[in-house]
Amino acid sequence: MTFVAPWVLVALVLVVPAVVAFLMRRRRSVIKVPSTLLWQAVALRRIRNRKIRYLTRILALLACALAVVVLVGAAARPRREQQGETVAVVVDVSASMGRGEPGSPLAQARRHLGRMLWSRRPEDTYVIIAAGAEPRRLAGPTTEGALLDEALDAIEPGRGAADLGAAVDLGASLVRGASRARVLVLHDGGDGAGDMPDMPVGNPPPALQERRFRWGGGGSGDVRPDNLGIVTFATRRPADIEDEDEREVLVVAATSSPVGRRAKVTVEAFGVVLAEQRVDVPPAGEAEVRLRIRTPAREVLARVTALDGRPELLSADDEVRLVQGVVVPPRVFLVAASDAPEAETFFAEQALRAAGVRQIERVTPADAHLRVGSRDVVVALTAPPDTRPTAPVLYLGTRARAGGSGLPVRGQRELTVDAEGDPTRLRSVASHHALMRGVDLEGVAIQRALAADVPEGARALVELDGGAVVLAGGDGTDGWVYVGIDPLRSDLVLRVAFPVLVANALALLGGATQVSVAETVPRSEVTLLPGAGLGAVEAPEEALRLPRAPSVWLALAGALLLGAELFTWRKGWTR
Amino acid sequence: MAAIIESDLVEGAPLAPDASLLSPEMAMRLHRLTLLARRLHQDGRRGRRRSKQVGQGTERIDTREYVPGDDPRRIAWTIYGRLERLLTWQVAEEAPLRLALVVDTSGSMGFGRPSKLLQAARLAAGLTAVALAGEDRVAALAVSGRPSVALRSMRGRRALPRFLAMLDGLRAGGPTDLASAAATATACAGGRGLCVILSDFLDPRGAMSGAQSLRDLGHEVALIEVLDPFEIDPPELAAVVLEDEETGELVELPDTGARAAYLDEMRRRREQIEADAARLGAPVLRVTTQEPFDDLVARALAVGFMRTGAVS
Repeated sequence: MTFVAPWVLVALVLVVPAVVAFLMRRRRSVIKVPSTLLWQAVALRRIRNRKIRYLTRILALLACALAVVVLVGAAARPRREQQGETVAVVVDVSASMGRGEPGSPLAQARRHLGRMLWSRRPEDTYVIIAAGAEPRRLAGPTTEGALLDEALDAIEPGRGAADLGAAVDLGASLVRGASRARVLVLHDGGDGAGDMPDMPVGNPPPALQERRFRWGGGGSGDVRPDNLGIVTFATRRPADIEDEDEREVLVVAATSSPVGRRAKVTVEAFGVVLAEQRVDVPPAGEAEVRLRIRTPAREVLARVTALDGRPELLSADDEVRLVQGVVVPPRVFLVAASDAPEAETFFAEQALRAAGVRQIERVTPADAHLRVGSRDVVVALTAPPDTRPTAPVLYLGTRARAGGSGLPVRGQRELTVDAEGDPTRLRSVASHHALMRGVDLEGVAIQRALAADVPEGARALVELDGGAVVLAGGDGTDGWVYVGIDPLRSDLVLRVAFPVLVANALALLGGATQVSVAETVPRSEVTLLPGAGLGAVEAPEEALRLPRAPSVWLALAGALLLGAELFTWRKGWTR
Repeated sequence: MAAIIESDLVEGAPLAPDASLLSPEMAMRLHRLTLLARRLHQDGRRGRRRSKQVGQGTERIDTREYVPGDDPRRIAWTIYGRLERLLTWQVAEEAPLRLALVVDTSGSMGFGRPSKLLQAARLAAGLTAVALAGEDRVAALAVSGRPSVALRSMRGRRALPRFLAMLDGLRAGGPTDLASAAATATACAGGRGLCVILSDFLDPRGAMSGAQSLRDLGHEVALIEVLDPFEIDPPELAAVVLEDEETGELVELPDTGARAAYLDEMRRRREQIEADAARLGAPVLRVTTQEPFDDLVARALAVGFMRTGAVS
């Protein structure tokens, strides 16, 4: 055993004055009398005999000296030589975790982490990561309790989804190589949790544990608490515009309640209500509200208010602010082969027009590169352009040519329904990405999709069971967005998500769109959908126990001895 | 009941009187005194004390008609001369007094200089001298929580040295147990009589526990309380620890008010003893270790323990 601050041991000389003071303090003289029978009525206390009195005084003296020794020892902070464990704690701070109110998963996660830090050993190393849209390291790797306590206090609730995969990846990279390393994920098991990345191979590899918290602290995952929130808020210039300040507003409200909810959607600017409408949200579903407003304000606010008096869990999703963008739509070249299905072209054109695009030109894959300028955006449908144009490209269900050329992605493969006939399942959505803002893919039926490998510099934004189907990469005129979901073999094009996705892609690629989409709380967070978990080892309940640091035990023992000494002194047992 | 041990000292050859307890001069003076007992218990032995029962004594108490067979020496010739009736004198039975001396030898009796035990032994020696001089029977018993020392009931002046030797050899120690002492005294007294308890009566079971037991068995009881002046009027004891001589128990006193509270407790206790003694018909003699023996004799006469002159 070593000491963190061995110089403190010099204070052991305090034992001498403590013992001297004990011996010098006033003692009561003893007088022999024939009998104490008549004195007992006025006695302060009675002692059985001199031996016991002597014993109590000796014990008190020993307690006094021992208390000084133990307290000095505790101040020197002894440390065991053995190696501690290294823990990366990933705390989900998505909106569904709540804002830390009592009973919320975030409050439970904080309490769990607090207990871990309280009972940790001094040689244990901790990393604390807040898993929001982007993982954020709050502390560590460190053994310093003060830093960890600060990190615990710095855990703030978020408004969006959590990219747990990225957070676990970060945590695993920070504890990689350490012995007895593990990554502990504290989350609510929401559907937006995503999948875990493959744990890095270390020596030994870090273990992955998870701990799921439910609202109210119950253990059943079937309980879905009541929540109502806005999952999409977008504005655009209406087609039949009469005034430049006129806007068409789309608000989608969703609920987690097992019963239908009655609510009111309000749109405000400068604190003035511009429009409002009552809406009935179906059980565990969503409802769409379309309004018209007229305001010069760039910033508008949408609010949903429950009218049925049911409890409301999350407050973060009740209000959404939207700063309307510049409305200069790009020119779009729609690349479609001559034999392309007309339905696919139709839905694409509709989505582009809904995004405010006024100029749409159809081109063939062969001549696309000849007419496209650098400020234009190319939307490729069935077939890719023969030559990559000097403009950003949105690939919508595009299939690579023979040999895999024509697309910025490789390894394209077809995903279809499984053996039971069920559509392929959505695995993860990077809902915090600008492309996915306001895009709700929950419940979308996908019969066929073209998954692809993620090239270097690109990012997978939507993954199905078989691979990534929405990817984004490049920048400027080399920018591209790949949407592998077949428009004709899914109901995506019938959803609000489709025009929002196209509008986001145009904004991302062309820099401007007539559609402004607010950053909202993802639908999976609003509806509090229970997920399947991470598939990791379930971490045990962290019971509140005494710290395992020797200094804490010593300090506790010293305090007890000192307390006993003061008690006996107050009682006069040592006089 | 505590075991009775016959001391070698009292079983051996006659011993010389111990001057420390009772000088020969004092013994001679005590021969003129007589112990007073309210009742006389018949034990079949003749002594100097008159019994109300008609017997073979010398004191005439009544007359009756002469019947043939009466002792002609008891015929009242003077009455016959006046009344011409033949009457016979009836004389009282003469019986000895049975005196049992119970000396408390518990640890608390060793306190003081001289000790309370020494003063009690002196008193016991004086009472023994008085009783033996009056042809009474005397038994002595020294008791504490430990095994007791006893001397069986004896009479005659020749027994005095044995008693003095026994009393001189007493040592204080052990707890006070007056109830046990009473039971032992009953066993060795040889019959009902006068039991004198010499003690400080600091018994946790109650000061009158022994006296009550003796009275219940038909004995007359007399109490001699022996205390040290320290116990009667202690100095102001502030913030000290008192140690019990008997039990070793320590009692921590407060900084103020201990003496007043003790005196109050002592007064209540003495009043209680007097009340209980009165209920039992037992005289109480209170003595201290500092009182001269002559004064003690005078006070014994004053409270009715003894009287001067011959027995009646």
